[in-house]
Amino acid sequence: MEDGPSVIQQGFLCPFCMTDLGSYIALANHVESAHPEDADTPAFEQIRGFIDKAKRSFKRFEPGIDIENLREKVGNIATSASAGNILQSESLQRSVEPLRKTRSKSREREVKPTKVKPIEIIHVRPEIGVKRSHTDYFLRCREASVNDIAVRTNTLIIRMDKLINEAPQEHSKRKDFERFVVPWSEDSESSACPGCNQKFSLTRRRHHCRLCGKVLCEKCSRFLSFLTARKLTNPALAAAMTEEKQNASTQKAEVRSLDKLADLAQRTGGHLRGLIGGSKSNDGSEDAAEHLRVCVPCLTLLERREQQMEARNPPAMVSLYERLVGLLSEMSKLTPSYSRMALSINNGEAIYTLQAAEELRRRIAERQREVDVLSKTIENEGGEGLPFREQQLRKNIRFVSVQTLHNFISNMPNLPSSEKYAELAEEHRNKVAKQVEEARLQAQRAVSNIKIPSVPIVETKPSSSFMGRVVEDGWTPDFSPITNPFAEEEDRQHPLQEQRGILRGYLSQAAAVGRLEEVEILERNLRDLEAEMRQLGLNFD
Amino acid sequence: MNILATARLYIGEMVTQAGPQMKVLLMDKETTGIVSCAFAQSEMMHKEVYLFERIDNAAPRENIKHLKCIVFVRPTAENIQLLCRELRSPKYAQYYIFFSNIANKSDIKLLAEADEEETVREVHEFFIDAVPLSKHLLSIGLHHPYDASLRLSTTAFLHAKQTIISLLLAFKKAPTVCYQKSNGDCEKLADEVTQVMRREEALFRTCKEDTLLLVIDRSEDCATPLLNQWTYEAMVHELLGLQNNRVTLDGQSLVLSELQDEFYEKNVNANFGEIGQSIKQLMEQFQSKAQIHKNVESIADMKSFVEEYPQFKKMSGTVSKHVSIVGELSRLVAANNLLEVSELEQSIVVDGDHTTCLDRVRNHLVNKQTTVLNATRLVLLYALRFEQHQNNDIDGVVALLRSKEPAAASLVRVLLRFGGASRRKNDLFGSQSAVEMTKRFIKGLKGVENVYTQHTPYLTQIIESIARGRFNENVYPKHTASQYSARVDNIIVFVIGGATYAELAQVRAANERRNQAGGPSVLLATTHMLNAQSFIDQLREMGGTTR
Repeated sequence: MEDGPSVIQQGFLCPFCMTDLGSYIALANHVESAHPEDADTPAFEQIRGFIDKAKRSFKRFEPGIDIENLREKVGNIATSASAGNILQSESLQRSVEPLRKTRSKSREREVKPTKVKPIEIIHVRPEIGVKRSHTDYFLRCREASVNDIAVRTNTLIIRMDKLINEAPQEHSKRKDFERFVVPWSEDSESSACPGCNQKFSLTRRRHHCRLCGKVLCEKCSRFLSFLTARKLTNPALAAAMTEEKQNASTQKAEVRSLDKLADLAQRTGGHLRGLIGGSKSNDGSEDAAEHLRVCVPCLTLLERREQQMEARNPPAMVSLYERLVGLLSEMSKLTPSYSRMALSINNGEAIYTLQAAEELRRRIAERQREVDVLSKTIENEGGEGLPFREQQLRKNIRFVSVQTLHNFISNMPNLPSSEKYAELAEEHRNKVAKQVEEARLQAQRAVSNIKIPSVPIVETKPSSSFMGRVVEDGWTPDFSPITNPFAEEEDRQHPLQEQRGILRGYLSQAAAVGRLEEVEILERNLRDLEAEMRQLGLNFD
Repeated sequence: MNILATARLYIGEMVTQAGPQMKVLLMDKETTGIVSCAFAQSEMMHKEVYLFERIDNAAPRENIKHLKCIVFVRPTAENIQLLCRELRSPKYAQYYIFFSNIANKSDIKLLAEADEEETVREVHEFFIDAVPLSKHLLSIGLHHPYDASLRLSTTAFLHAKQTIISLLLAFKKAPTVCYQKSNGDCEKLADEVTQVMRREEALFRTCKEDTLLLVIDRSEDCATPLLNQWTYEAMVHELLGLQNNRVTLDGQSLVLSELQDEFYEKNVNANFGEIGQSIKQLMEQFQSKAQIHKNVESIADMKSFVEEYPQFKKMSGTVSKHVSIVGELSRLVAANNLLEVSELEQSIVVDGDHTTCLDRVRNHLVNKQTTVLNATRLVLLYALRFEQHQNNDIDGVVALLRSKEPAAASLVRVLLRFGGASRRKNDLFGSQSAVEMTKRFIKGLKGVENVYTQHTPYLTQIIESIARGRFNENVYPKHTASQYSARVDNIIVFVIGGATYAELAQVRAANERRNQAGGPSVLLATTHMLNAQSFIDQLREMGGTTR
């Protein structure tokens, strides 16, 4: 900024609209009439905050200099520059005093909602009704029944362990051993198969489940391979097998029925048998030896246990989806941050650099592309072979992603070219200067109620519910002051200028990671600081 | 009391409890209606609920183990059984179960025993058990609730009771319970609701007592459902038929939701003439935007167009939807000679000059343009209005109607048995009270604003009398176990046997008045929504004559 305007900026500035009112009385009148508002609003707090901050910044960066001295000095310069105007922080503070008593409107009120959708007027905020949880009761009930099942399954597994590992080699002795481990129920006890309710006869012979000892018919018998049985009794083996299976099989092994697994293991050859450790020899009649006859209820219990043991490998889609959601929630932070920057730049303000905005835009665009690619992959990954619902699920994920993208993109204003930006910045500077000049003229004409439009702060509402998933965490900017230790004393920046540089650095960092709250605070601080600098007659470009 | 907002909060809370990750929502027939009225499908999808399933769907669902499942069902015996089966062989990774009403402890135990794979994470009762059709309207969606003895059927009674209980809990109200004395169902319902409130003391402990619950029966006012209506929503239901805020037009299902459709929200209570105006404005607005659409030559034009694109797209959908609906309405109005029919209906129920009415009814009955429905409603209105008139000619008009509607005699008989003078104890046509007579006299002096909308539903009088504290306790006594609260801030009216959109319009108006001038907030709850056709069908069913 040129020297001229910055000198004009000094004087009795209205803390709300930055208008120079020329004299204390004019300012007090102006504040009372133009900003009639509750003094306890954030705006008032802001002003207090910024004065305090300015003081602190003085103290922090120039501990050697007496602040009051400096002010007086600067004040004197100001006095000579613009006749009759005494610039002092005290004057500002005094101008704030009446605010305590008057009711005035915050800056936000001046921001005209450009096009706000009519919101339904809710007089009483609707609250959720009565809820009642039965979860505890449910879990108590479940525990009892689940324990029962666990005990039953464990009994089966202990029996199974004995049957396959301690059974005698000779075929003839095996039956006796099996009956010794699991007492078989008497044939006379049941005249019909409990599975199919058919009467036993000469053609429908009685068999026994080797695990629970109950009677059943041939048709209702299931056969459990020793391999599966070992897997259930020996978790280490199970892990090895799962690994083996993954290595060996190239085909999609979606259905993990017990039989298939056994099948597969046989195909993978002798390697597995080696793992088993030869505890069981091959005695020709493999079919008879390598299977246990079991009933359906027992098999169900065992299958469930097997499923629990198998580490569930989530399909690739799940990790893709997680990544997609991560990207979307990141974008829901970055996009409003970008809109803010772009708006400020399109107004010609110098709070952000065009470069930083362009950089952020590039980053967002990158993520947009990635979201597009990811969601497309999710949609098309499985192809036509997938079951109907799975396809529908993927289509819907794609649909939501595309919709969210559309929403984000339509909320992103364009950036000016660098030439255009220079023009805009010039325009903005002139406008501010003109406003200040006008204000001064008007103040001189003792017209006290002037208002200049302040830059609207447009709140961009996060449009996506992914916003809800953002976990609040701390954020700190990297501190990397650019100082030249070899600079001559007179080349050194004024502490306020230095502070301004640091603030701007923080601001662009905060904007780049989408910390909207911090951006707001920093923007406010920067404005305050610049206002203070104007008063001190420091140029900051 | 905004039931739609409460429903949205409940459903939102379900999704929150289930947490992030892909989700499927498993519902029954009734809860599907609840969710579809409270949320648009895309809204749910933005909450990561990507699939919607019915628990009572016979076709087996496929396993998708990487989904979380939100179960939202009514706690009926059938649903518990289906849910047990689901949990025995779970299709999804985790289950979050939400019942729409009070569930039995024994049912919860059954579920716990069925959950052998330990997939259930949460079990809750969230009290939203009927369809929130609008901010102030809750409907069970239970058509034909009466049996041949003109009483509520057992299942309908149970459902009505459950709905009232869940409604009270949704609003956290422990109301003063009043009922229509002349009707046995109303008294029984009031009685049983009070019993549940006492039994479930723990649930009602946090509830406020600033509410009046009134249970009335449709037989109190049979005139309203027989009249032609002229406000947008009521007209759509009368002429095209609304089903859970959806209307079918040319085989296309259109959603009319106050939540998602700004134009509809603004015009839902507007009369037919006003809608025409609004549609015209909407068209012009659209055309001016469509103009941009045509000359997108300059880049700036294009940019602004693209920036407006989402709104534009949405708006074009809105425009075409309302244009086609209003177009169809005006076609029907002209084709069925509705203006004339409606004027006659109004003079029957409001003026009540027998001789002229009889002449005009006869004329309409012989007119070929008069549809069966309109002929029937005129005869029914005539019978209802002049039932006790000395010179009435009900038999004569029924004979005239018989050529169009063979069941005419039976319909009239059932109507008078159901809602005739001997059954209803109120002053439906305002001929007995001096106040009403004076009112009408003054109205006559001032002249009527609109001949088609002179009649106001009887419900309006009831609501006004409660609001003014002039509630007739002989006709609508409070339940003996119920306490009168010092101040009635909320009125819940439950209408057994169906309500109409004309009544909803009055409730809406009452709530708008509250926003400006204060007064109680009003909510209408009912078994189902009526139009003339469904009301006549209901009479037919009660008379035991099938079409």
